[in-house]
Amino acid sequence: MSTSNPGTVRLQTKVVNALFGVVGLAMLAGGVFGLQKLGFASRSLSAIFALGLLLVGGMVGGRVVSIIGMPRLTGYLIVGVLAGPSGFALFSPHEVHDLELINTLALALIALQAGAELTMPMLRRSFKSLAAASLGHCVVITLGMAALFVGISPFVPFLADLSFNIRIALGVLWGAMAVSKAPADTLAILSETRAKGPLAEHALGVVVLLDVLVLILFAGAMMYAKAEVDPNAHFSLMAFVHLGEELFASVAAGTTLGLVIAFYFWAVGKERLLFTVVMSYVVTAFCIFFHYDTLLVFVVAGFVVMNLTKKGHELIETTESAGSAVMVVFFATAGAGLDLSILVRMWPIALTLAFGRIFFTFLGCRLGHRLAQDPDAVRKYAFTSFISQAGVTIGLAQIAQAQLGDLGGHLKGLVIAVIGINELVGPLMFKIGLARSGEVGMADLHTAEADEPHDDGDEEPSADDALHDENDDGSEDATEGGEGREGGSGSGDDTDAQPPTSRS
Amino acid sequence: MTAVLVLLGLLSLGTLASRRGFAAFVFSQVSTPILLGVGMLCAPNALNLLNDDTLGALEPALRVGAAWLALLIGARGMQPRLSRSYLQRGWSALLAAVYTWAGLALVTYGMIFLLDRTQQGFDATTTRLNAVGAAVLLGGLTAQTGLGMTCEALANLAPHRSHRVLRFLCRHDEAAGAIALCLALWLWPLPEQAGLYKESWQAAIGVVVLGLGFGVVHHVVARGAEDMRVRVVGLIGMVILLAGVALDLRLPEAAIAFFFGVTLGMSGQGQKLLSHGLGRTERPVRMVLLVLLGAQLKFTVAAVLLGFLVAITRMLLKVGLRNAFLDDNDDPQKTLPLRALIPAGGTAVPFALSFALSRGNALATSEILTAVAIAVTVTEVVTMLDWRLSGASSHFDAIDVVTLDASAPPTIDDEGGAA
Repeated sequence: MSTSNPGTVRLQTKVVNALFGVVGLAMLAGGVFGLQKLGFASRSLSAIFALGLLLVGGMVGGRVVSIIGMPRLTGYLIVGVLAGPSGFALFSPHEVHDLELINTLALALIALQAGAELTMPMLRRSFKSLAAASLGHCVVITLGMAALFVGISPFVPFLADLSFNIRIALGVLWGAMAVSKAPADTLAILSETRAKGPLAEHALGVVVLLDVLVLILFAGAMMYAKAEVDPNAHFSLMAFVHLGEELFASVAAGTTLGLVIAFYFWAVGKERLLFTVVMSYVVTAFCIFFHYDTLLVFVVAGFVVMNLTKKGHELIETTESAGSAVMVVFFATAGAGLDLSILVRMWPIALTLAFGRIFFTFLGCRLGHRLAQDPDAVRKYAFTSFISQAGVTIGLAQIAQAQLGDLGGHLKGLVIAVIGINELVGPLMFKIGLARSGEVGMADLHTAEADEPHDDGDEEPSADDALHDENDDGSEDATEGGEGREGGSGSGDDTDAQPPTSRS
Repeated sequence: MTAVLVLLGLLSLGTLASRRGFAAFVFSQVSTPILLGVGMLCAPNALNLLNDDTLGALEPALRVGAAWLALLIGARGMQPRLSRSYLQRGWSALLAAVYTWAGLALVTYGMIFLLDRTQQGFDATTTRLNAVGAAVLLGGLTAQTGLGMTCEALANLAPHRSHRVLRFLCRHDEAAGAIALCLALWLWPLPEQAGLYKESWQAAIGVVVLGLGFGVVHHVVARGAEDMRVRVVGLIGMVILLAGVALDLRLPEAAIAFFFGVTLGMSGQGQKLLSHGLGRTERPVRMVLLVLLGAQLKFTVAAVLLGFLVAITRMLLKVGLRNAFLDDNDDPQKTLPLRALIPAGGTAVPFALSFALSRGNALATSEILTAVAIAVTVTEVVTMLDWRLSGASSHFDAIDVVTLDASAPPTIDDEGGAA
């Protein structure tokens, strides 16, 4: 009995290859444990080891979960959780902290790409939809989650003894944090699935827009919470003025950065990846020093490069060429950083809050769609793209911890527990939503169509070409054949990594 | 963050300097001394631009960089299916390499013995313990030939039969560095603080076993990955992992990575990965390593004397070999590439650095590191002067001593396979 069905054969091959990956990883882990047992290696493994393990493990994890239709991102996260302090504790929280330097780069690249994906025609086309969705999210999720938070507060150990007013204030703060999304997850899923269409555009636009709006919302909620928690703290609108200044300065810095990147791409054009990486770190250091919103700076920079210059596609190609490795580390580190002990301890509360957020996200989306008369695909599946939460939310929780002391620390623990659920559920739901809406793989189709007639005279080699093909030493290998070809075709399920072609 | 910014700054400069136009203008032919000099200027005891904290924070990057270089060397050095005629030609080249290595080791041993007698720099007990290991290591590392220069020289000449032998020599000469490192691990007693091995031979065997083991694991993990990018990501991950394992085991990551690279080369994956742009990473990485190395050099009388002696001996040996090869000294087809044999190979520095890092600068490893740096510098400067004075430089188009064409995969003609 032969199984000649190409789909079955392909699936079998993928399963076998993934199994080989797992076996390889097991060999690696077994080797390290063996060396430790024999006394050749020390017990505490270094940050370099952690980084390497997350890269290789994440790669294998991504391939394994993709077999059952889950996003690779989930595989990276699972590997991070398993290898991290909450899992087999192959490395300590200290090593995880050391890896945050990689995350700096990842966030910058993600934000640059997110900004570059937002084109003026797209914004003009869906302005009403984005505005309505953002309004729906801000109002419904904040109020809904605040009510839920206050409702379950008697069952939460660190909230039960607090006064009702404080619980309401913390509820509003929780609601504001619940509005935040995960631009990195959205972009990673869109890259993997090669999705393009109304849903993909809507998801990306709302996520980026809310990333700014949530800062304002959070600042207001934090002021209210601080005034309630600390009787000595005074309520002042000056915080909004400062926030406004910072946002304005961030936009200005982002615009400048965008123009600098575009100028470099135009004037030099070589080593674009290295330049982008260098700028990412330099500008991040600059943002930390001046208290600018790093994500906003890079989003604006990407937006400027895409919409005010002709170098947007080159920027996307450049960020995507670095994305493969950086994304694996970013999400695996995020997984390793999740303290699941809190989730284990408080799982009923975390589950209630996580599913409550999904419910209110759904309601917020419905309100937005009703106001904007969105198309069917958006109306049915848009909420699936807003479930994930990651770095932005953790960042907000860290601010809460810094401002509210012990109470903020407990709040942060609960936030991380809820993020653990959202991160496992969100990407999967978004992938399903994209598949149901029929947008998976459409970016390749659009690129193929656009390639023939469209010619803007910009025939410079892409960053990928520069990285992989342009070989100073003239070492073009004619025997490569199809092996080294990139970009792949077909849906995200069939390719082995995020292919690099642009969706725009 | 400061360390990352410093590293990226160095990497940017390295990449900028690796551009041909810029190299011809600024780093014409003598890049190693310049980069080491820049590092020395930035050192904590000079301008302090690279302070101890930053250097400490950059050590993991240094280890990964050394491992990466060694991997590329291993991957491009070993080719599957070499023809018998090619291998026969290679014997003479290998004999020449062994001859240089043995000569250098002998001279180094003699010099250490003399330094021990005169109490110059080396501790007497240390010397007796380390002399053989140090001689083998220094000899093996400095015996290698600069592949980049030779390939560049050959590229500017009409094809000649003797070129194949030279290419073979250069490619496989670098293996001598890795073998020397293993032998040195064996012969060089372990420092007290290492404590992880009972016998030094365990370290020597360990690097080979680990290197081959990583090759097998990579082969299994990357199996079926259709997109070359996935393979590249996997390879980067494996090298970082390897550096981490080497750090934990206190083994030189460069030696492990070299043998890992050999497995890639033997399986045919090496050329695919190199031609996929990985080869281009070699020069910037090496430049960064050289600058960081320059900041860590510790000049002592013993190190300087050893470095100069090794450089001079090496040049004499190589000139002797060159003359043995030459029938007609006026034939540029032969003289130009053979002149390129004089400077020491590009792998000497990463291997020496990796060895010094793995032994925690104990037992005079820093002297060996400094001696290697001096030897490489002196041979490069002398080569440049030789070319200039003999007029040979006019045949070259802005040659940079850094292994320019080191990643170039050999053609069928080079290997003599199809012919």
